[in-house]
Amino acid sequence: MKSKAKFIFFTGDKKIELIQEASALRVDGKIYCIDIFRNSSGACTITNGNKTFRLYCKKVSETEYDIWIKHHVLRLTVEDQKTTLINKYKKNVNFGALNTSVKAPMPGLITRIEVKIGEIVQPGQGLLVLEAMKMENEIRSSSNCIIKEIKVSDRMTVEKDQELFIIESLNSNLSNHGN
Amino acid sequence: MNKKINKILVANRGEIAVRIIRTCKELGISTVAIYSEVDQNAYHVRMADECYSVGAAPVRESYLNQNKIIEIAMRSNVTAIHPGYGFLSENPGFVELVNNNDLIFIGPGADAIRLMGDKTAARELASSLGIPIVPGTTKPLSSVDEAIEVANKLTYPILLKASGGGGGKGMRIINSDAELASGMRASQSEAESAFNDNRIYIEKYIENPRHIEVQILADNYGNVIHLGERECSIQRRHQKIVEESPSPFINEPIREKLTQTAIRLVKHSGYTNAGTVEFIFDQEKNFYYLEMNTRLQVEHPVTEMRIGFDIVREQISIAEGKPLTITQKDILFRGHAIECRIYAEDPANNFYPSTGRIHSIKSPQGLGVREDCGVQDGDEITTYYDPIISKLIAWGNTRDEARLRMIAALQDYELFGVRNNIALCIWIMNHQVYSEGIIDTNFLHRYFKPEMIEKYPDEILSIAAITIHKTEKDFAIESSAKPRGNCRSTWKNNLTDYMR
Repeated sequence: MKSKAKFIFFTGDKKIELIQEASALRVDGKIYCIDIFRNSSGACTITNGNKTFRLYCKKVSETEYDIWIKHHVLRLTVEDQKTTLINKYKKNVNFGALNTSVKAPMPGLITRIEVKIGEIVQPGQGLLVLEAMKMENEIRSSSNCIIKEIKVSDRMTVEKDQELFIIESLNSNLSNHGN
Repeated sequence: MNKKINKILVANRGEIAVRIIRTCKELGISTVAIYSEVDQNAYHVRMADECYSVGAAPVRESYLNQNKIIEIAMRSNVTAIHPGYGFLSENPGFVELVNNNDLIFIGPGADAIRLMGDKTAARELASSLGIPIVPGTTKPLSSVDEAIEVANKLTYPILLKASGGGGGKGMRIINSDAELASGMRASQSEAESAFNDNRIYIEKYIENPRHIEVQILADNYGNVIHLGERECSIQRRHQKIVEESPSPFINEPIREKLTQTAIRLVKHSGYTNAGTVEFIFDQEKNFYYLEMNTRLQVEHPVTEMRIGFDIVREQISIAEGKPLTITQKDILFRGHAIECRIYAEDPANNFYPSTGRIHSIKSPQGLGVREDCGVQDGDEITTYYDPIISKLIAWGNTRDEARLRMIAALQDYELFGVRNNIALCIWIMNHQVYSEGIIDTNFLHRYFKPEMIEKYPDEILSIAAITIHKTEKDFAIESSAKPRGNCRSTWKNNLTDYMR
């Protein structure tokens, strides 16, 4: 039986370590005494010692949360013990080529698909054009890769983070954190 | 042509519709709002005395649906239509349709819009009056070959621009022949969807320009006055983020020359009502006529804050056929005003627009602070319309006082539920180069990197992590994640394990 539980959060490259102790929460080594009051709009008022903050938290996926606090908007990813293990394993094994997906950075209407299955694309090359809020936004490849699968079609409406393409990266230095 | 306006249909949505309705209320004028399917409960609809459905969400079927709008105007018995900005505000065909139905269009006449709103025709007029224009074509492009020829004569980089309207829609910087064909296609289709007009033209791209514009008012009796200038050099995707008045770049003699040039152009075009003449300044303080916006402009509150005068109110008065209620010498400029446009977009991710429900919006308040906002708690930001949520304006006796007041106001601004650019605006206001007034339209491109607004204080990060931890335990967090059958999140399982 454990008396402590550890949780790891990431925002970008920054790692935050939260330890739940018997009666306190310790974040990055510092003890916090926090009270949360929830109001009707879903926003919270947080008191941390002598300071008060307003905050809003929204769960965007199983492991991701968006937090609005003051004028900041941050995305925190929670990493549980299982993922920690997988990532550890990933770091030690060379997978070679790995299929990843290109996701829609915003909701919108697909007005033009600019690549075909099997096509090799260069970093910066346009993949498709997404129309949102009256502007055409070209979604460009961030890496040198092969288009393995096209998950969308012309004139289709997509949600934010919806998969657009499955790509196989042609670069050997794969990042092993995040997707 | 004198006709009292006692009921107005506002053919727009969002903050500008709200702002126009506010003035109408002050004047005791009844208001009619129109709404698309997704806007049924929008703030502007709630503000108006009456509201009518105008169609489905896409603008073509709603806010650009001219016949439907006229039908609503007739049915609701209005005297006049105020178009706001964007949508039908610079469409001469719509002005004629309004007039043919014995309604008043609050704005310039169809001929003046046709002349000045058509960017290429206006360039021709300015040029004929000896007003310097940015080098380029004064006729719309007919083919890619022609574009390549013109572009090479001007030398790259060049700008592609829409003939049919402004606001950055359809605008593209082109650096080589190779980019020209696809750039033209994109510009044309953007111009087509924004203005229903796919004509585009070329201008030489001026390096590090400053964008300074003059607000004018003109009545039907040949009186034209200016309300000073606004500098709008802080932009992204050719769209303005920060505007201010006066411009920190120009002195009194240049200001005099600039405002008189604007007045001369307006007088020669037969233009009436409120309008804005835009100029580009190069680093040597030479200015070139850029285009005229034949409508009320987004950033008009910057001017209003300095002169204490309601431009929309004067627009209505001019449309009623009255002479200007003020003369040039009545206009007294006082202090400095800055506006930040609050957009639903993510500056850390390419400025991509973001959508979602607003869970809390609390506007800053206090001396010299104004907010023109188009949404309230619980409203939804959709992909169908412009991402502007609100405009925050700060006034001060000096530029620095206005700037510091703006920073305090932005820090006080609570906007939960959609990603937004408040952190970016704070970053701009705090930037040394901005505080010294040394800005140009490449300011963000040159200085801004996403990580600059992604440096969070440790306390903020810790509180964020603790909140997730605690709320997952104590409450069900509102989730946009799609439930996957009965599978519980690993996070929850983890917690349960630990709690056992």
